[in-house]
Amino acid sequence: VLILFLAYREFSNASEVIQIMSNGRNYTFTIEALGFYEENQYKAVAVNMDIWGYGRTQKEAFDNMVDLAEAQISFAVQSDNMSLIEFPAEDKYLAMYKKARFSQIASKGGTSTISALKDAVAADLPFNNDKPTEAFAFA
Amino acid sequence: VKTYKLRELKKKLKKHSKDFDFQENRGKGGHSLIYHPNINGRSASYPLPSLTGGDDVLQSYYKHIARRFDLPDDFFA
Repeated sequence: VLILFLAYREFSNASEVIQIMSNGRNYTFTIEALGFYEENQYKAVAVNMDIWGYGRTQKEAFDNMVDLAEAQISFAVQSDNMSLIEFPAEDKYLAMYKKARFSQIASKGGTSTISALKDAVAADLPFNNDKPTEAFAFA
Repeated sequence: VKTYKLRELKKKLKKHSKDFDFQENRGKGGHSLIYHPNINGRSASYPLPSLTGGDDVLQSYYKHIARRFDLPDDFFA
């Protein structure tokens, strides 16, 4: 895990709201996403869905992930089977997401309160990552 | 690890379980979607980037497919 971790050059977190209309009803979903660079490509994962996007840029990876997440959600809605959506990513990516989110809060001068978390996530744009976050150690 | 074309991947999954189903042209991007009605007691699906049957499936997705559908570790070996 450590060797893999050291390959990460940068990572960030972001959120995206997806709205889908089906049978006259509107559905709104929030994707919480983690992005990082590894193995010569950018990767983005919806951590609560384990849906991945890849690309040559952060935006490309994020956009690919969102497109696939939309396809997954759309299928779940049309199948009337919401259990298809919820599928957490592996623990190490959930841990990375939490670290990235807390780092982002800290960089904004916030604290690790629930309201600060909500503010940070709500304020995020995809890969708001001008300054790559410092690497962190897994517990 | 062998690189599979989409049609090869479908064939391989179908051979593993005839209950695998495949949806095409899902979402705005016209993505493919793999579906199985019973993986450890619950249904599961996974979307793939827009591909035609003859296109290679990015190897990065193999581990995600394997995890989602609880496939053997050596399934894509």
